[in-house]
Amino acid sequence: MAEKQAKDVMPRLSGKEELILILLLGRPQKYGLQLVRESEGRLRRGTVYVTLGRMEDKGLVESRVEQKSEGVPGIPRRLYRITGLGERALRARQVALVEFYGADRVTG
Amino acid sequence: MRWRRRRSYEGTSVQLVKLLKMWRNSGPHLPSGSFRLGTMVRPSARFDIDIVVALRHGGARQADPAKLFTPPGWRLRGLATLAYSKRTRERVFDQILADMQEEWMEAMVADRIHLARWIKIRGYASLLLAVVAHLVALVGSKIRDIRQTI
Repeated sequence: MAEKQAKDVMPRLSGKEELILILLLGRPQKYGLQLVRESEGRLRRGTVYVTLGRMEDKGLVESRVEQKSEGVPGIPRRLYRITGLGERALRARQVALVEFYGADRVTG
Repeated sequence: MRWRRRRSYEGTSVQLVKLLKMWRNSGPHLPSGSFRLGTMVRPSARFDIDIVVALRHGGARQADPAKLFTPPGWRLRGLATLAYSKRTRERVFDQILADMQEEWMEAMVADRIHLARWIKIRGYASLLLAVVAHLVALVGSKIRDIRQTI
C-alpha cells in the first residue's frame, strides 16, 4: 500500500529532466550554464532554466542564489542541486527502463 | 568611411577591454588615479558592442562598478519586469541574462570581439526561446488545471 502511494506521488520525468538529474547527481551544486556545457548540446541555454524551474516546482531540484561580495555588480546567479526526491525519481525511472527494455538495451 | 568606423570601433574595444580587466581585478572599486569615467554613449551608427564606455585619462575617482558599463540585455531585463512575475524573472530570464553577460565579459576580456558579438546574438535567441518555452509551459499547466477541475 505504502509502495503504491509512493509510486503515485513519484513525479514522472521527461528526457531532459532525467539528463539534468544525472548531471546533478553526486555533485554539490551547479549553475545552469554548467549543465548546458556538460550536456554536450542536449540542453539549450534558452530552455534549461524553464525546465529547472518546473523541476523545482516538482521538488526534484532546489536552488539558492549565489553569494556575491558587496559591491560586485552583475545579476545574481542561481546554483542548483538535486533533492532526495529527485534522486529517488531518477532511480525509479532507471529501474523502470531496465524492466521495460531490459538491462542490455538500457546500459548499451 | 569604413576604415574610420573600424578604427574607432577597435579603439573603443581596446578601452573597454582595459576597463573590464581592471574591473575584474580590482573588486568593488577601481584603483584610483587610473581612469576617470565619462558618460555612457550609445552611437546608433556603429555595429559594435552595445554599450560604449567613454573613458578619459586623468582624475582620480572611485566609481561604482555597476555604473561603469551596462552589459547586454539590461533593457530587456527592465521589460521582463513589466511582463513576468518576480519568480519567473529571477529564475528564468535573469539567469539567461547572467550567463550571457558572464560569457560576454569573458570574451571581451580575452579581446575576442567577434565571439562577444556572437554570444550576444545567441543570448538574445536564448531569451526568445525561453519566452516561447515559458508560454508553452504556462498554457500546458492551465490546460491541466482546467482538465482536473472538469
